[in-house]
Amino acid sequence: MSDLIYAGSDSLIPDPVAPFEPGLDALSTGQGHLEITFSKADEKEVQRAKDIIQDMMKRGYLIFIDEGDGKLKRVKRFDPEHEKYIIDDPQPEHKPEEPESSTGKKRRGRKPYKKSVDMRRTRATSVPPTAGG
Amino acid sequence: MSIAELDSEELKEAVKDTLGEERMPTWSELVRIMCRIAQENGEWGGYPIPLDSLPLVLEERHPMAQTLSGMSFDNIRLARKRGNNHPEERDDPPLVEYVNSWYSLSRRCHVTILRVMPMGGETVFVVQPDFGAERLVSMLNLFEACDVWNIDAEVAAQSKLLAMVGVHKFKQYMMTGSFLETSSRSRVTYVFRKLRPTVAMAPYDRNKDESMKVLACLCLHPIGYYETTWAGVMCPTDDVIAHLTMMRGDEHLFWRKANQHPAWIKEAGL
Repeated sequence: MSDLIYAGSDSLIPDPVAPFEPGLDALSTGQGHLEITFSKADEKEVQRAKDIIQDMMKRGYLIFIDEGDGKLKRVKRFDPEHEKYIIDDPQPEHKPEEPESSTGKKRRGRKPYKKSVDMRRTRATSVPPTAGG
Repeated sequence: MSIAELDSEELKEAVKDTLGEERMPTWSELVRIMCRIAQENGEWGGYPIPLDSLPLVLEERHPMAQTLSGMSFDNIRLARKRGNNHPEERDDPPLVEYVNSWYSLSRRCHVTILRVMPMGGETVFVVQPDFGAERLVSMLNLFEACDVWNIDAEVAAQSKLLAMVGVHKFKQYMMTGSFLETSSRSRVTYVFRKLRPTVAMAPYDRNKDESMKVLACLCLHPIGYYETTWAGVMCPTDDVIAHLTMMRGDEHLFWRKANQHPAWIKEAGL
C-alpha cells in the first residue's frame, strides 16, 4: 500500500463512477446518514422510506432529488400513494392552454409548472432544518 | 420511553443493558446508547448528544429542542449544585441587562453595551479585542466535539461526498479539508470547508481576469451545533454535504438560510 501512496497513485480512492442507484440519503446525527437503496431494499424498507419522507416534509426538511443526470432539484411535495415527488419544472414540454378571460386580456406572470417524478427512479438527499451557525 | 423522561436510575438501566455492567460509559458508548434509545423511540434522525462544557443549540422544530437546547453537562452539574433541576428555573434577578453589541472594523474588536443592575442601571461598555487567541480557543473547542462524532458516520459521509464531487475534488478535500466549486447559475465560487463556514467569492469584475473578493462566509448547521464552535451535531462531512446539496439544489435558499458572516470576523473562520 505504501508503494501506491508514494507513487502518487489515486488507485486507493474507489471508483466514484458507480452505477446510479435510486434511494434515499437522510442526513442525521448519531450513526451517520440513513441510507436506503431501493434495488436492495425489501418492500418493508421502501415503506419505511416513504414514512420517513412524509415525516421529513412535515418537519421542514429540504429534499433534493437526482434523476441520474447529476442535477439536483428541490422537492415541493411528496405523494406517498403514487410514490411521486412533485418538483417545479423549469422547462415544461407541454404548456396547458390558458383560459380566455372575460375582458379578453391575457393572464400576467409566469405560471409555475409542476412535474411529478417517480420515487423509485431517483436518489433523494434530505437536509434537516438549520439551527443557525 | 424518551430521554426527557429518563431519570438517573433509568439511564443506569439503559447503560447496564447496553454495556452489560453498571459503570460510567465512555463517549463512544454514550453515542451508542443514545442511538439505541432513539431507535426504540422511533426517532430515525437520532438524538444529538450534549457535551461537557459547550452548550447545545438545536433548531426549534427538533423533537428534543425543549429538552436539550442550551444543555451541557457542566450546566446540569451547576444547576444541581444550586439545588434546581434546570438552570433556567432559578429565580435570581439578572445582574446585567444586554443593550446592544457590534463589531468595530477600525478597532478590530467586539463592543458590547450592558446595563448593570446593582449600579442602579448604569450603562457600561465592554471591549473584547479580536486577536489570535480567541480564534485558537474556537479551534480547540472542536476537540471536545470530536467525542460525540462517530467515525463510521464520517467515513460513510466521505463516501457520499466522493460520489457527489468526483476524485479530483475529493482528493483536495482529503488533503486540505476543502474544495472549490463554481455555481453554473450565479458564477459564484464556493470554498466548501470542513468545520468552517463556506466562503463565497466572486471576481471584482466579471469581464476582466482580476482577483476575487469574498462576498460572505456562509454558516449553516442542520439540526444543531455547539455554541462558540464551528462544530455541528452531525459529523463534519455531513455538514459539508448539506452545504453542497443546498448550493446545487437551491442556491437562493442556501443564502437565505445561512448566516452570512463578513470575512473579517472570527465567526467567518478565515
